[in-house]
Amino acid sequence: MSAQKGYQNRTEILQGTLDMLILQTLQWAPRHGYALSKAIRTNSGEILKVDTGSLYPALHRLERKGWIAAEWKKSEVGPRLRVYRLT
Amino acid sequence: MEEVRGGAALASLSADMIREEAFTRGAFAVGQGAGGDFGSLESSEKRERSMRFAFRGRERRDRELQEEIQAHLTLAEREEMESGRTRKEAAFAARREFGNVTIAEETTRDMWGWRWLSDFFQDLRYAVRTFRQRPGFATVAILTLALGIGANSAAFGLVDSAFLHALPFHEPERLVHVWTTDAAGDLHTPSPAEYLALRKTSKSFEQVTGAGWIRVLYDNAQSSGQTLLGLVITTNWLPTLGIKPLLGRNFLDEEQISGRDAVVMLSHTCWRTRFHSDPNTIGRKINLDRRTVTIIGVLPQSLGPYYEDIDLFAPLVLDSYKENGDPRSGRVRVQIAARLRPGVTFDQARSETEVIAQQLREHRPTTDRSGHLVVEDFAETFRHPGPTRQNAQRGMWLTACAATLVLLIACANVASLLLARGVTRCKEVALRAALGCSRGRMVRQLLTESGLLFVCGGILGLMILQWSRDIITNVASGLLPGTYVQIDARVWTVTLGVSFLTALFFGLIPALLTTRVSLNDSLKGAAPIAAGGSQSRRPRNFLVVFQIALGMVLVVGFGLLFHSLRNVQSARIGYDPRNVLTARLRLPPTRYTEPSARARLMRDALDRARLLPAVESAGITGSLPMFGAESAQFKIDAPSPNTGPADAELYFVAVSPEYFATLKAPMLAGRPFDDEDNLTSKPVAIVNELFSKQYFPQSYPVGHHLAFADSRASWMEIVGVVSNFSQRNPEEDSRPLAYFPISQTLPTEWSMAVRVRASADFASSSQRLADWLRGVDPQLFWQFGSMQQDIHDSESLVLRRPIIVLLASFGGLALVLAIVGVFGVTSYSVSERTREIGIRVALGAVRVEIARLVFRETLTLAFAGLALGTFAAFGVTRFLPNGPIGWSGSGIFLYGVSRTDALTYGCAAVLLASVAVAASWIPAQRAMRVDPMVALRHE
Repeated sequence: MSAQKGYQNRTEILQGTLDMLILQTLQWAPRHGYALSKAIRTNSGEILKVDTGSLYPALHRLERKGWIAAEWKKSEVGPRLRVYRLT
Repeated sequence: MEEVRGGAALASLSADMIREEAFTRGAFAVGQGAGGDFGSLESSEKRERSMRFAFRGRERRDRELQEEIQAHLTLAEREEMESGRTRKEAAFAARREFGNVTIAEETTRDMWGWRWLSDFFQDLRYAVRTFRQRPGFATVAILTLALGIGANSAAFGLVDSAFLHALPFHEPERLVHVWTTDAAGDLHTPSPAEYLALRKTSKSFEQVTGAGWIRVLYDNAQSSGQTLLGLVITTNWLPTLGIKPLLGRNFLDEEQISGRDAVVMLSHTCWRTRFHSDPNTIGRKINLDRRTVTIIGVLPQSLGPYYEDIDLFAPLVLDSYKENGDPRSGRVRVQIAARLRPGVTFDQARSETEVIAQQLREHRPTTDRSGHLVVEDFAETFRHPGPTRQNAQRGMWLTACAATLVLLIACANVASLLLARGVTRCKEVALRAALGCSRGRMVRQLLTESGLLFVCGGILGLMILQWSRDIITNVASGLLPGTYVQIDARVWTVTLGVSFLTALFFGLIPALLTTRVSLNDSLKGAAPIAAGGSQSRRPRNFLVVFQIALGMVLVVGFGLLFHSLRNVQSARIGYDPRNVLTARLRLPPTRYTEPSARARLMRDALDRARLLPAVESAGITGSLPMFGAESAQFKIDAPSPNTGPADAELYFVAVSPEYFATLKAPMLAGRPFDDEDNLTSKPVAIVNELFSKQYFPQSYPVGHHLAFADSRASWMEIVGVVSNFSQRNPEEDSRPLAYFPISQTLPTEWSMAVRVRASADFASSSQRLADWLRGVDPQLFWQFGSMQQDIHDSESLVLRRPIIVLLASFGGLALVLAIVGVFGVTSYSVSERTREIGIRVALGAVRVEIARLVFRETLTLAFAGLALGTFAAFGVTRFLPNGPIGWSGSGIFLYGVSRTDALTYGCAAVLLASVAVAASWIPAQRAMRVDPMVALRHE
């Protein structure tokens, strides 16, 4: 039951919206994938939860179109991260 | 995968499909794509870059992506751990939060583009692997397709070279023929004077060329004296048409002078058949017209269909040509081909030639319509072939249709095989569907597999064609001289095109049927053969019926034409050709110019021939049977309602008194010619039976008169009526013919027919006769033969034989394919029904009953196919003409059989039914040997 309710609470929003969200969030600062999903969640006040299965495809699509660019950065914590920024 | 991608295309922010995919999807997930750090590149550059990266950087991109996602998971894990979970729990939570890693990877890879290309290569690799596992299936399929597509390509190549190919001349739209007109205003080949005038004074043509026909005697070691047809051409003929010799060189200007013209070029056909395509032919010396000439070149094959009968090309020496040239239509002619100067239009050329013509015509009255020069488009001559060539062309189309039928049968075979194979892959298909593979993706993969088969078949077919090219060219040239098969770009294009189209068409239905599985049944392990079998049985049966029907059409077509051939060979020709020698003579123009000399020569020849003891009778004629006759306008004083004489166009032949007796063509009324009828006596004529029936239906032609339509011609008295006999072809319709005494016409070209006694040895008699006749005048050249050989070489039979050969080979191919098809289907059906057979045997069925079971199924299919094929054959044979043939060689006309000849259809049906039964013999044996114990445990 609750799972269903949770289901209904999630809205299906079109592709373009996710792209806009990403671009808007990157406006403030370049981020890597995980930080981006957290930022979207935070900025929307915990209403929008980005499905990571759609996040990475969207990121790569935008990268292919040339609207964002990516590069690898070494992080202090451990694994190296792929950071995206607006072009 | 597709479903999720479809979802991602809508980019729902909720992943409502969480599939726990096994991480062992190596077989499916090798997707590559293009990646690329584009920055702000232009899109075209982007695409080019992505193409390159697609193949070089994909491994790197894959790794980076995995690394990226792994980093995400690590960070999420760390955050979870901060909220107090253990490492393991944190890892699971992070993963769960993320969703399906593999799908995310896949979807991202999709974004890189070029998904279809990577899919295609993946499918291709999979297909090759599958075929390597089952080489038998692949071999049979590829061989079958090779035969079908190869036959089709051969037919296309032939038809292409005969009709479809662009003219092999350089800029043919700038080439023209110039004709002159005769008294009736019809087009005629110009005279040498007109050619010279045009060449000297015309300004609108940049080149004016001339060509004339000659016949030469070719002497070599094997065959004494064959007459070859040749074209004498000016030096600029080849360059104007834009044709380069295949070997050797063109003539030089100095070789156009009499005495220096002992050079010759060969046509491709002549080089191929008489010199066996020997590359060292250049420089060889041969004997032509008792002269030694050197071969200096060979012309290319593409010229063949346009100058089909020409064997040799020699320089045109205008002076000697005017004297010695081949007197077609009684006067020497030069065919003019010219190339328009750049910028000159047809109309300008026309007006200029008209002016030149007027100058030549000077003193002729305006009522005389002869002598006008007409400019005509070069290709026009080739667009209106004579009736013989038209019929030969139709025969070629017939062959092409037969080839298409063979192709369809082959494709049906392979489709059947694919269907059978599809059934065994039931489980694999179900598993893939369960894992999320969309139907479209699977159909694409199956189409790739069948496409691979068809394309390999096509390529193998082309290889077979290349290997058997000479045989095919030889047979086809017999039908339509000059046609050939060449594996050039057009043939390649057509072959590949046909391969792809048939792959699509015949691979689609098996693909669709194979992918139509119900997941539950298949995965639960129900006997896959039972589950999917019934679904594919009906299409397979339909394919077999289709094959048998097409086979029936082919066999019926072949049967009807073969029957016609046999009928023509034994047709009533009206005379007895057995044991009759023929000796043909062409008098050189410089000798025997006096009529009395010619008369004396004929008499001497006849006397000499009669001296031989083996000779029964001998006669002379202007034109032997099977060689046609001339025609002219005549006036006949027939007792018709109108008082004036009737006008008719008649064919006529000159004969000697004993000619009819030699031929054993009986006189029906009146008397034959005798020695009294010569130049000095009254002109007489004999007519044939049909003439009598047509113009003298109630009365008696003997005693009446006929004359040439020329007003000054004298009336000839009809003194006899002879029975009809064939003059041009064994199957011709009789025409009214008139015969004149050869002693009154005295032509320069005549033939002798010598009947040898049946008891004598034909070969030695002919040798002796040859020696004797040469003794009359050693300088004359005789061509010896026999009447039966003449019938064998008549146009009719010469056209029919290659068609029969071609149809027989295609029919044979079709039968072989049908056997394979029926065998495949029947053996599959038997293995499907193994359980059922086992049960029957266990319940007490006898082996014979089992066999009967199998045969009954086959025969049902066969009968259905035969019925369908009979209807189809009725429709198709309407294109085989049945009507009156006229005089020209017919090739595809039916003779003596109706289109619905019961015997032919019956034989075809029996043949196909026995083929079907024979093909299902081995499966029936297998069925009979089924052990019930094994069968009942068989799954």
